[in-house]
Amino acid sequence: MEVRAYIIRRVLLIIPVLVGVSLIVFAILALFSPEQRAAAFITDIRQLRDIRGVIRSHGLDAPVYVQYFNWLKEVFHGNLGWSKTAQRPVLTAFFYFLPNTVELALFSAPLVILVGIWLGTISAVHQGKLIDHLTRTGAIVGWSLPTFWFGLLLLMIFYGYFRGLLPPEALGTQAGLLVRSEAFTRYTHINTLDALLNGNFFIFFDALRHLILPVITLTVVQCAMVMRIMRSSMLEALAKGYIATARAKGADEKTVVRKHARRNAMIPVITVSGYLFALLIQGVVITETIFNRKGLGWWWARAAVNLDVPAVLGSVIFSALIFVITNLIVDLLYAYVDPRVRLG
Amino acid sequence: MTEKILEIKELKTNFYTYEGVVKALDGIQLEVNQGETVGLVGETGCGKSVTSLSILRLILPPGRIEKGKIIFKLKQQSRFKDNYVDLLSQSEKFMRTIRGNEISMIFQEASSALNPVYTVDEQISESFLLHQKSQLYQEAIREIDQEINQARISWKKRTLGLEKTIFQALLNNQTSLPAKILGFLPGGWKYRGRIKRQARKKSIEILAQLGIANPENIVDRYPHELSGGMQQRVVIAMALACNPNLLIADEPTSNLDVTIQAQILDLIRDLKRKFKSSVLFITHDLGVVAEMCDRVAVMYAGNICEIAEVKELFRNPLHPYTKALLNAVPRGGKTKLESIEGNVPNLINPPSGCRFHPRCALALSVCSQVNPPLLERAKEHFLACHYYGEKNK
Amino acid sequence: MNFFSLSSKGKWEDLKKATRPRLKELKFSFNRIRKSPLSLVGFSLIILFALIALMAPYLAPPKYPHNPYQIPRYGYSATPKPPSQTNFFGTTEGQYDIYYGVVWGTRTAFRIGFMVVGTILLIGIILGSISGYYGGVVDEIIMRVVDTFMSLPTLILAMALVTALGHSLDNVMKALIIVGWPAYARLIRGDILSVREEQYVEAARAVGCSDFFIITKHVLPNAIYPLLIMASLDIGAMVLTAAALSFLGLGAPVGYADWGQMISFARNWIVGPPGNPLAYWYTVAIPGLFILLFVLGWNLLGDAFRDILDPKLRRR
Repeated sequence: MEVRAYIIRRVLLIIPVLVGVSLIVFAILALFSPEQRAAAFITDIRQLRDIRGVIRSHGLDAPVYVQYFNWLKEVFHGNLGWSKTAQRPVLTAFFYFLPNTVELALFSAPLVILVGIWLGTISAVHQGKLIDHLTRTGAIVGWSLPTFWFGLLLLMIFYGYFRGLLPPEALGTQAGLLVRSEAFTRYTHINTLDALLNGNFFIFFDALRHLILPVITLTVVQCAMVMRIMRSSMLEALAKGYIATARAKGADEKTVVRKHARRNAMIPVITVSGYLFALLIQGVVITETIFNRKGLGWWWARAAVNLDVPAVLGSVIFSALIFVITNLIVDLLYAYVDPRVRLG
Repeated sequence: MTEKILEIKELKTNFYTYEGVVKALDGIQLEVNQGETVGLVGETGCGKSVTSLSILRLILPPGRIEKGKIIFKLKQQSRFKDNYVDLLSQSEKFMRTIRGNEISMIFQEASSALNPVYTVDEQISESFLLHQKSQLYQEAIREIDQEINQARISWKKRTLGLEKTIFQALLNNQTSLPAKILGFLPGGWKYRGRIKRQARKKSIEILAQLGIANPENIVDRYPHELSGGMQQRVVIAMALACNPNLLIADEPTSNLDVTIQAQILDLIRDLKRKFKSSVLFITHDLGVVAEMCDRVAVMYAGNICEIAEVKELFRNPLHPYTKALLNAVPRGGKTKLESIEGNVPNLINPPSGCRFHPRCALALSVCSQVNPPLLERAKEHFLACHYYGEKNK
Repeated sequence: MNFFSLSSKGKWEDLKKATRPRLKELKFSFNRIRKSPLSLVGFSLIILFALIALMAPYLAPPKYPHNPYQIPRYGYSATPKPPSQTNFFGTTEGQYDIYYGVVWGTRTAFRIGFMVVGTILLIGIILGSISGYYGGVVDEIIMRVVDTFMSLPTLILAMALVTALGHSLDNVMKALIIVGWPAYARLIRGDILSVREEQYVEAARAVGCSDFFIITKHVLPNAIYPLLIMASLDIGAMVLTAAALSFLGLGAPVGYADWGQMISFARNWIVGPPGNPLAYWYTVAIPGLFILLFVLGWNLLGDAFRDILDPKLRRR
């Protein structure tokens, strides 16, 4: 009852944000010249021959609000233009690049949450001890780490020094050929998952080998953040009255920390996981560029460098959509973990 | 014949803070007899709560219990002589079997004493799961027996039989490896579910004993869905779950409305009789003391200054601080309230000798040098004051 | 407060008495800093970088005085050269001097950090104050804009903005300003909302103080500490993002003294010649280390501020 009202209210809150995002994207679009903007309406490479015709037919010389609604209409029809860096329409390119990025996220997100929460708990429980100082220092250095530099250093060591132990890109040459062959069925286009479904362990381990460095690069910064938040919220939780109650009940320290404190301390971590997701997207852009993994981030970075306007606008729209949806999920999760929210 | 259930001797607790060492308790002497309610009164910050936490050995760093003895009588048969045990010399593991089981505590603020993310059932059940595992197993076995009798299909009988053997094995050896594995196993939910159901039954039972109208309903609520009085009742239920020998109530009513306050006090009095436990009642409210307690101990700045039976203390207070305290309480017919001159002393650098002497109108020269010992001045009336001794020489 | 109740007699004694608690707090603060080696490291790092930035013309005399940010080249060979007498930290691809680049890059980093965060602070304080103090429709509009901006990942939005504005360091700063202000506006608004209902603000309003006076005298001082902490952390974060954008090729032009841009030189030289795989380590390691230490300094400083200034945390 209350839960349903909460969900409905939360879903309705998305609408103004999406309208705002569309306005921002359109404002960015308006900064470009009409010729550059015309690209957003081109779905086929042949249309490029008559740019002026495209400008006129799409009313790019019309008043701003007319242009806005025209553009919105196109977006709703799924027409986001032609991406010259991907050599595909933007929407198709999005689904083409998505699996590689999802794979990266799939491996790094659980790692971030588990390691971050674990280290944060340890640090808080041993407040002021050596292990606390070590994890705190590690976290602040990790938080200050330039991802692109860290990734390059890792490559230098594990690809350069150790003779190609952990190479860049998503797959090795041989595995890449095998994946594209007839014998390999691509269920999800996520390499590791497909390899398992096909029962091909050579491809699975090859994909895994290519994943290790990007996942580490991606994880460090987020891990540092989760750890710091977990530490401070854990310290706060450990000072609460219910912890004294639990101790007075005769609960051992393990139960006190794991059952009573941690569940309460997780709540702030859940609230920032939306922000964590923003970090993930940013990290993906850098990581995929460095390791030459052809995913969304790699595409977006190239699009920005090569002035691929439709792809750049598409990147804002897609990331906003994913971000809004994740935040929605986070809020619903929040209601599950913290019973106080359900009353709202 | 009254027997002592708790005897605190020369208890000293310090807190090592940035500003210096806070000498929170400076040689406390206190006794609690079987079935008795002892009130512990004093101003805020005089060490009442530290005393209660010291008894349970829940003083956390930077605090430390320096010396003293806390002799406690266990309710169950044990390896100790006459079941008396010095809590301060026991291991932490042993203390965990004491907390919530033999001695339990009602905290000041019910709203913060309850964990917001667990239901009432989960929180009360925890006490049973911690201290009465074997009873829960026995009840589970009894329940399985009933189910076996009712079961018609043979395979169902067989699985129930298997479950029963598991529970019997657990009953015999609770810390065995299989028991631990069962806790982790995905299939373990069945066994855990049954135990939790037993604990839940007991939780409902205890809430019913507290006179709560529909415990089945309350049990599934979260703390924030309950009123302040109901929260305090849940906290009391949690404390009484394992039928403790000693109940420490740390200002259990200070944040409640007056009407609810009266209800809770009545409840504690009834329950004390029903459960035959002793109560150490900590409060700053002398009215509550008069209503609830058999004996009273007055505390000032980490020292006990006077212990007497309630009537005796109110009729014939001997310590200057007690007199001042009683004069500061509004009573019918009295026109003027007297405040106590001066401030509560800083416990980092407490006054030498008797800690009350800077504020005492009757202070002698000896008062600033020697800390007066707690002596029996009248029958069952203990007093720590030089003035009284000098006067009656 | 006690200053106003000074009696004519024994003024000095009274003054001493009045300031004693404050002095004690100050001493406590210094004690905290002294006891926390991390804060000390943070302070020293920032001072060190400030010195490098100030002394840049002496540490690395510019070759082109009209454009000191242009890194001088020592030839046109593609292969980086290791540290030597003329090039302390070696040269990058295209023979740009790494030492010169990191020294003048410190100035670039400070410029980015201060310009971006300073502007953000200004915009955030103004819009947040308006939003929080007046409420109503204005508040609603500003907050919806803030919500929208905050529902976009910073780097993606900054990338799109830089693409639209044109690739240059100035445009990177503009983009970071557009991306960064909403968080500050939200923080200030929250603080103002919580302070607005306080007794002393009511009282100030009752005696007829102007809105501007109330905001600057009563509301902002309460919000200044969280702002300081956030700003300190953000200087690091903004420099990091700007470096990432430069690394991707969206910011500083080739040859400009900017740490991120210098690392992008190194991308082709991760693996050395056979037999010496780490031959070109200096092209990656040195500029990166400068970024790391600069950002670390500001983060440690922000942490130290938090520990020192937050009265709730400081006693723990």
